[in-house]
Amino acid sequence: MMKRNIYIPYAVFLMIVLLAPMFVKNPYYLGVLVQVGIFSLVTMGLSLLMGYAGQISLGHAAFFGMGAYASAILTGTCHWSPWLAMGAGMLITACVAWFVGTPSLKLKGHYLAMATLGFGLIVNIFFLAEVDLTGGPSGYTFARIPHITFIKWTIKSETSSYYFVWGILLVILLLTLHIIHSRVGRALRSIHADEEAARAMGVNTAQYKVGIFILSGIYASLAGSLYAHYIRFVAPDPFGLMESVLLVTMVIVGGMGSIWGAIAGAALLIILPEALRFFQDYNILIYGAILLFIMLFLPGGIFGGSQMLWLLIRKIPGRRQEAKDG
Amino acid sequence: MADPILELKDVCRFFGGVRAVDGVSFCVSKGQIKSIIGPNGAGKTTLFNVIAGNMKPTKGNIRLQNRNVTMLPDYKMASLGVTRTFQTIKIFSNMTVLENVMIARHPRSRAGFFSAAFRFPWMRREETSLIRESRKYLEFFDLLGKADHPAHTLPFKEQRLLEFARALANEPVILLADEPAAGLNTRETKDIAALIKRIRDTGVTVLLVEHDMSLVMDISDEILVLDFGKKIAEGTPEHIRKNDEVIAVYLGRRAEGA
Ligand SMILES: Nc1ncnc2c1ncn2[C@@H]1O[C@H](COP(=O)(O)OP(=O)(O)OP(=O)(O)O)[C@@H](O)[C@H]1O
Ligand SMILES: [Mg+2]
Repeated sequence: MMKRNIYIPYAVFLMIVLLAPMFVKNPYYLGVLVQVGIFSLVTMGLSLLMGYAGQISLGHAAFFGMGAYASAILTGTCHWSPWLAMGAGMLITACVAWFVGTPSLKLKGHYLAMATLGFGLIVNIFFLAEVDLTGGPSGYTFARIPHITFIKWTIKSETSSYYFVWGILLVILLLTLHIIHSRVGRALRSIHADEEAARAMGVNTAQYKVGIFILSGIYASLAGSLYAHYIRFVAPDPFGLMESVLLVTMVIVGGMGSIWGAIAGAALLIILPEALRFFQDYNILIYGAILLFIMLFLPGGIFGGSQMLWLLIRKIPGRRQEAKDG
Repeated sequence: MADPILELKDVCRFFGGVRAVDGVSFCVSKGQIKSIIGPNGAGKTTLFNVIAGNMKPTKGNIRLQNRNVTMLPDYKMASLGVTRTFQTIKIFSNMTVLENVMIARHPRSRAGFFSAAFRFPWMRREETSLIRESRKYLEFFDLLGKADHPAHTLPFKEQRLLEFARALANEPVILLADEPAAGLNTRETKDIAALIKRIRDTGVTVLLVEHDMSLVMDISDEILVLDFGKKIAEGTPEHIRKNDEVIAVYLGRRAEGA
């Protein structure tokens, strides 16, 4: 795996990300892309957990929310710097993920899904009920969440938000690619394939599962903080069960075997509803039909499907070559 | 006995009322090939699970190289040099052949989340030497040509070989092989016999569970017979061949079944 160069697709992706604003000039569409970036951060972590380590979480929106609320409360109520608040949010989330993950990840399959679902619900109830801290159902209204500043730039416009969010995403993506193509990535995949055999090879599977759960929680928390400073308002409903399910759907639709699939899935499920607005009342129907189509006919998700297409295209000239030789 | 690698004392493992392993004691000395035989359900695989740390013994004591390892979990046993191949093949089907072997070097390498994410130079050197070492093991098993193939595309026999390559890459002190010849034809079984001898000759002690009696009689230095979880005989192949109880309980029942 190490031999296959991971930097070429990365460089291509980097160029696309940097050049996209030249083609997407409309601030509204740029805003959609900012959201794609934020959600991609969450799905990337979730893809490590689901696609690589083979563990499910139906509570990831809770980590997303914890980052968002930590940023809102620590900057709004406590007047901390956004960066410090972001770090604190990731630290808190990591601790919670460790505390929740250690017992939960001993469970498998449906039981793990139920446990993480329960965790997500509890956190959502916390957002709703701790009115003094979070503002309750109407959201955090005690103070306006400040803009974040990066060196000397205040991240305010859609363009600056775009470069800020995607810049962070590109850094995290590179680190994630490194993790995947390493001893740690192999250990995670071995757990996915056969936990007993992985342990027999000396892999401390319990520790790796909790480790990747924490890491994916940290990604989600970071995304939550970016969300809070971008939207500048947080309320409980984007961090509930439906959102957790949406995140899992993004990972599956994108393609579980690859981190690129996580980005593709987030992009599709955010852009699609926007693109389907044109159909008005029928948009949900078409949206559902498209998802159904992907699940039925592209078992490897969008990414798996495009990979298959690529193999097909590459094969055709190869066959001709053989025919000539023969 | 000279230089015991592994010592079991009165080891039991019960599942509710089922006494799968019931008070078994024995020693394995360095450089031996020791076989465990017994009818289906005798408790052979359970005994391996207990030794490998996959299951805790209900009772009893296990020592590895004079160290008490009774309650250690399986991943720790692996890093202490107890490696196994499984009765039903357990290769990592989502990885390449080479990566399957690289996983076995896990306890002997140390890159973690952080060092992997930032790809420190030492971690890259570790990865390079990991690949080099793993290829050596593939070469030993004639699998080098398929290093980059997805492991699940290998034919059955080569998957077995890959399991052995992986086990050896763990650099075990003792290898527990559970029915390595199951599902193989006579020729392939002969190859496995030769292979196990070669493995022993590299200095690895082998504990073998096998139903193929000619294989067992041919390569074992010592044989232990289990029946209903209990040890009913132990000794050299000649000794076992002549043991009346073994003939009655084990070979007799097999003959009835056939
Ligand atoms: N995890 C388990 N839970 C409950 N009972 C078990 C478990 N594993 C094994 N047993 C029981 O323990 C007994 C011994 O089984 P074991 O698999 O160790 O036999 P074996 O000697 O390996 O047989 P075979 O030759 O068929 O592989 C059997 O009665 C089996 O049903
Ligand atoms: Mg068995």
